[in-house]
Amino acid sequence: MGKRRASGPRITLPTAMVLRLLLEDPTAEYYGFAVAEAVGFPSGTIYPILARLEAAGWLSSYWETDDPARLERPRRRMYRLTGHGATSARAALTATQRLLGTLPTAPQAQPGTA
Amino acid sequence: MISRAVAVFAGVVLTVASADVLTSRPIADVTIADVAVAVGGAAVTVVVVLAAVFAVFAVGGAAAAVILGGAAAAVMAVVAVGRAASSVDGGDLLRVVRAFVAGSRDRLKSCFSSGIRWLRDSFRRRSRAAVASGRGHRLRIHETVDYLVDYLVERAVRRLPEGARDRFAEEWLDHRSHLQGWRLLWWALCVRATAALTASELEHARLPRAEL
Repeated sequence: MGKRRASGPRITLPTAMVLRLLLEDPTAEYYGFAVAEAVGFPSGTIYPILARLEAAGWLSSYWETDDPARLERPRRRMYRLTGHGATSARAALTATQRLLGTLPTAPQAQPGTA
Repeated sequence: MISRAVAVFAGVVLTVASADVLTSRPIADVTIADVAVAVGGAAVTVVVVLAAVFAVFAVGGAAAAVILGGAAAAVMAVVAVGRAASSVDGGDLLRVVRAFVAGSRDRLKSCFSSGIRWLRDSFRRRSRAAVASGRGHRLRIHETVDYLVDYLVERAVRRLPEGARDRFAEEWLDHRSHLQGWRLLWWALCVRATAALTASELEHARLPRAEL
């Protein structure tokens, strides 16, 4: 656990996409369904990512305080990047992009040379 | 699309019901003829399922329903005849039908038919509720979807670590205000299917209980 907190969460492709969404406006608050819709992954993928980021301290979350009866819907759990999270997320995305940039480009397929 | 779904559903229900009836005899009374019929029934069921898949995706809605109906009737006939052959002497048509009905009734009463009982009780309960609310006997499709979604989400939540259950049950509840109909049902199926993975990830993340 400590090791994971020190080195940060795993940056998988879905995690990177979630971080990119959150970094578009680091002060904005999102709820789980909105993140899932924006990123295009199912909730079975999104919620574990949010939990990992939250456990690493990159995200903070809280229940919205408005009365569900007034809102006429269940209350939502809101997620927001922490200051440390925003810095770390930018660094992680930059590192990932740099890593991808070092990969050799795939050779072009030659038509008719199967 | 709906007719295809109904055709698949009807085919599956009929074949499962046939298999269900077939296995309703007490184990001590099972004969070699029963086993032979069971093996034959299983083979026919596999053929029916394959035919159903082919019919739905290659032929189309109405034709698929006809093919499925015929195939399901064939399965029922095989099961009924097999059952009659092993449990009824001689076996005219009336006896075959009686044996099949008796087997179905026994099976619905048995403790192993909880799934069927669950569906039956659920149908009766919702039907009573529909009458009580003045809507008449007709059940609406979205009520059935809601009921299935409740069931699937509840099963998914049970797979999560104990400390996270309430939180995710409430978070997932919010999804239901965004989705409707088949999309909602598909979402619930996905949630149920990925619940074990979600539970594993949540255990890895070990969210402090105070944050839940």
